[in-house]
Parts: sequence; C-alpha cells; structure tokens
Amino acid sequence: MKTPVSMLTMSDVTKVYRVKDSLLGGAGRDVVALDRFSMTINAGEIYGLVGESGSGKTTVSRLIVGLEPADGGDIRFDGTKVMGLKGRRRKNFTKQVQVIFQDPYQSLNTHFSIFETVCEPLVIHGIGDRQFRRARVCEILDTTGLTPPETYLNRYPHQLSGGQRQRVAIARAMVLEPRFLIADEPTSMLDALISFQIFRLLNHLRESFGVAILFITHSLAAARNLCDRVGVLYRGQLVEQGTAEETIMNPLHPYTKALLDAHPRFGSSRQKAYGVLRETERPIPDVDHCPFYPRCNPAMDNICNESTPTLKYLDSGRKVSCFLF
Amino acid sequence: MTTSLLDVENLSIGYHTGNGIHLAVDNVSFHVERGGSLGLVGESGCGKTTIGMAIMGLLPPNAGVVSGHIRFEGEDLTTVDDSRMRKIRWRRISMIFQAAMNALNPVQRVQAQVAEAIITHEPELSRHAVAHRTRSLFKLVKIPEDRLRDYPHQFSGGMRQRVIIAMALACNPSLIIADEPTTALDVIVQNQILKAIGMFQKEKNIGMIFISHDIAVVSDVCTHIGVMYEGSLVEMGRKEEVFYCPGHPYTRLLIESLLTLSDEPADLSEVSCVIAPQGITGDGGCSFNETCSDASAACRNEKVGWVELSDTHRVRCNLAGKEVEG
Repeated sequence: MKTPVSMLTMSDVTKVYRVKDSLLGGAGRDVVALDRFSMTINAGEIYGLVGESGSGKTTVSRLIVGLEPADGGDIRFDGTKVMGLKGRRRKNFTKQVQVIFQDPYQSLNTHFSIFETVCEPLVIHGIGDRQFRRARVCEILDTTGLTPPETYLNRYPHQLSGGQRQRVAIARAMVLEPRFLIADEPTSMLDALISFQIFRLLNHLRESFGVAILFITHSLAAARNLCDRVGVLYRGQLVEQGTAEETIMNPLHPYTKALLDAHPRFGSSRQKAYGVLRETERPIPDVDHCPFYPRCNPAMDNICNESTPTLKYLDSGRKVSCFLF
Repeated sequence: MTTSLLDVENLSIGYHTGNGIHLAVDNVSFHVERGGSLGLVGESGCGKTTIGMAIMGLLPPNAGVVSGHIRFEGEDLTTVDDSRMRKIRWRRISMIFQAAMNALNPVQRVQAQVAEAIITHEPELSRHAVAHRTRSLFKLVKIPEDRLRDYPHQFSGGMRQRVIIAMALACNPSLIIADEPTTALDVIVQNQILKAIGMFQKEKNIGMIFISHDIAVVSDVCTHIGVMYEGSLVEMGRKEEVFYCPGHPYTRLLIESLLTLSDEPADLSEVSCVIAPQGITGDGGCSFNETCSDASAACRNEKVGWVELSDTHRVRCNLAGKEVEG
C-alpha cells in the first residue's frame, strides 16, 4: 500500500460558544464545543467521527468548511490554512470540499427543480456552457442512482422520497468533482434499507473517484462497515482513534466501550458487555478532570478526577486519551 | 375465542384524498397479549403510525377505518363513541408519541405536567394521592426526586423522554403504544430508555405495541415482531423466528441491510439502485413484486395469502416455504 498522503489536518482546534445567560444580563457561560481537537484525513480514505449528540461532531464539519471561525488551533487543507482564505483561493477551496447535510428535507431548496439544485454549483463556479452542464448533471444523477436522470431533472424536492432527496444532495456535492466530502449524519433521517443504499453509494464514490470522506455518525455499526479509520469524540475531545476494525472489535477507551454496550444486540457476535457506564453519575469535580470521569466506572479516584488526560500514541498506531493506558 | 388484550382483525384504514380513498393500512390482523410486546417494523409511510393512531382513536379527520375491528378487552374500539373513547384513552391505552419530548410545556414544572395527566383522567383522586403517584412514577423512570420541580429546558433529551414515559404510565394503562420513542436520541440514551421501557412493561404486565423503523431496536424490546410493507402486514412471528428464519423477501432485505458489529463487515462494494415502489398495486397482486428478485408473473397478478411456517410464524408471500434459499 502507498504511504498515505494527508489531505486535511486539524491540530489543537478549539471552539468555544458563548452562551448569553439571560435577558437580564449576568455573566455568560462558555460552552467548549471542541477542546484541542486534532485529526488527519488522508487522501481517498473514509474517516468516521463517532460520538453522541452534543459531542462536537458537527462543529468539526462547520469549522472545516469555514461556516464558523475556530477560536484556536490550525486547520489545513493540502498544507494551506483554511481560515482566512479569501477570493479566488477560497472559491478554489470550496470547489474541492463539499458537504452533505443531515436532513435532506431541509437542505434542498423547495423552489429549485432537481436540475437547478444540482446545476447551481456549476453556475457558481462558472463551469461549462448550458449543454455541458446539462450533460454533467445527468451524468452525476446517474452515478448517484437516480436513473434515468432525464425523468428527475424537472421534478421538485417534494416529489421525491427521503432517500431520493439525499441522493440529490449527494449529486449536488459531487457535481464539482470534489476531493473531499463531509457527510454529516447523512442517513439519520432515513430508513435502514435506504441508509444501506446511501452507504453503498458513498463507498462507490470513494472507489470510483477517490474522494476522501469525513463521515460523521453516532452509529458505530455504520462506521464499522464504511470507514477505514474512526475517531471517537466525547464532549469536544478526541478520546480514541484507530482503524475501524480495531477500535470496534477491541476498544480501549471506556466511552467507546459504553457506546458499544449501548448498541442493539441483534446480529452481533459479541455477547459480553463491558459494563463501563455508571448507573448514577458521579458529581463533577471542580478541578480539571477527564471529561468522561462522572460516567466512567473503571475511573481511578485521585487521578481521573484531578487532571485531564492527553492523547497517547500506542505502539499499534492507535491513540487513546485515558489514564488507564 | 381467545381473550387477548388487543385483537385487531382485518383492519383497513383509508385517507380521503382528491383521488378517492387511499388505503394506508390494508387488511391488517394481529393481537397483543397482556404483558406481551409486539414490534411493528417497516419503512416510513408503511402505515405503522396510522395503526397506532387508530387504536388510540386519534385518526385525523380525513382518515377513517374502512373495515375491520379493533377489539380491546372485548370492546370494539371502531364502534365506541367519543365520550367512551375518552374514558379508555390514557386510562386504559396510552401512547408515547414520536418526538413527544419536544411537546412538553416549557413554562410548567415537569412534576405538574405529569400530575395534570393523572388529574385529567382520574379527577376523583385526592391531591395527596396524585402527588404520591407522581413521585413513584418518577422513581420508576429513574428521575431523581430533586429534579421534580425543574422545567423541561433543564432536562436533557433522554430525561425529557423519561418524563413522557412517566406521563404515559400515569393512569396504569393495560396497553401502551410506543411510536418510535427513541428515534431522536443517541445510542447510549436510547439504550437506557429501551431498558426503562422493557422494565416497566414486564414489572407492570402491560401489553405493548412498539413501532419503529429499526429492526435491531425492536429485537431488543419485543417478544413478537410484525413486519409491514406498503400498508400490509407481510410477516408475523416470534422474534427469534422472524430474525433467524425470515420468510418474506422484504424481511430478508431489512435484516441484510442492517449494519451490525459482527466480525465480517457488510459488503458495500456494489451499487444498488433499488427505487422505492410506486404505491399499492391494488389489483390483488403482491405489493413487493417490483422490488423482489424472485417475483414471478403470478406474484404480480394473483392474490397473496398467508403461509403458516409454524404455529406462531406466518408470512404473506406466495413463494414462502416452497423453496429454500441458499
């Protein structure tokens, strides 16, 4: 295998949201959405970012595409800083990085026909003439499984099912032939059968076009089946990273184990439970502590509640942020 | 005749549309025992929720029961009048609605909201009795006592869903309908809620209909499973039977497409272009024939009947039991 070429690097990225306390003034509270988060995505790989809601998964995607500025750290795409890109360079960046959002019922403009929706990126980037654009739109609709494409061109989102809409969203993202795709929980609104087809489609896109995908999900099963590597995010911190196979078949961090325990049992060969989640949460200590400490069963008093663990590199190339290792 | 808790017989429900009546539920029969749990699985739009609403007597004005019966404790719910239905609803049958946690009143304490459910349906209870029951309900769903006077916005999604469950249990119903109770929650919280539901269901011997599109979730909580496709029940049986020897091609497809944490990852390499079918065929043919790889001309034109695979396991497919799939 070739040595991986890193495409996107995030190092020590921090994002803090300031919450206004009340209408009557008073001190605002800071919510740390991402805490010194680092991640590297290589060309042509599918990287799964797993975590519960509120763990900061979506914030990662918003920071990468520049929908929001980061408060600290560095995000680089092909070695170039993403933050502060302007003008032509910014446009060139957006051409290479595209996003598929969670909810295909909201992410498509209801007043645009499918042709207009998928064609819009081409218009914005001034690619091709009318004839070329039409051919390109048909081609990409065909690739994403909307066949025959001609029958979809003049339809509107309300005439399509959820799975078809998500395919349109994927077609719109792929029409510019990006090198990096962010899929933010692309199937959480869809049925299992349709989700499976969407996963297949994403895998197909990677294999035929070599596009790298950041796949954001809360389902470890989806990550296991689709991704090369996974990172587990908890309260804004990366707690574990490794290949999908290793991380899920042999998890290290207690939070990863808790996620696996919570997964519905059916069809899983693994019968034993790790039992790492506490029934009643511990009180949160005042000092710096491991973010998972209040819910962690094997946590060690006097260590886990008194300092924050840092990401450790293990021999196997895995990373884990836990004092137990 | 058996005296099941709930007996649904040949139920058809239609929506009145501009083009006449559109059947959302087509000739569905099942029953739920006291303390039993039935999971209804199917994709969105297959009529799962419509069945739940019909049992609750909460169908929208443009929908109605076309034929069939819903017998609850021997009483036919399709014929009772509104005032009787109001007595049954919540006291005897209650429902956990989809995303109901977002429907809590934001300016009322959670304790008061659960108490309100009790007072509305059992006005004869004393204030003391109501308060006592509210406390024991919160204990059952594991919400600590010092959180009773909190407002919904101080609760997480999972906690709010627990409040909703407490509310559904408020009047000691004998049947509970859970309509995708965990869809908006993430895995750890989902697991906790499923455990909570499973526990009270066994503890209080309540019958349950659990509606979900996730066959894996259903397998965690239910003893029996019914698979629905395009308004019809296509397979029905005990959990183990449906999972380990699915008889209907649609059930097989559902189980195959389920991504699991098993040793071997699923094969994602080929692109599938299965397009959702275009509505109920209506001419008596199998509604699944457009997607089914084994469908023959007979599947398109002949009426499909139930095939009994065992005493508890039946499948609505003409090909079931005739050939063994490799």
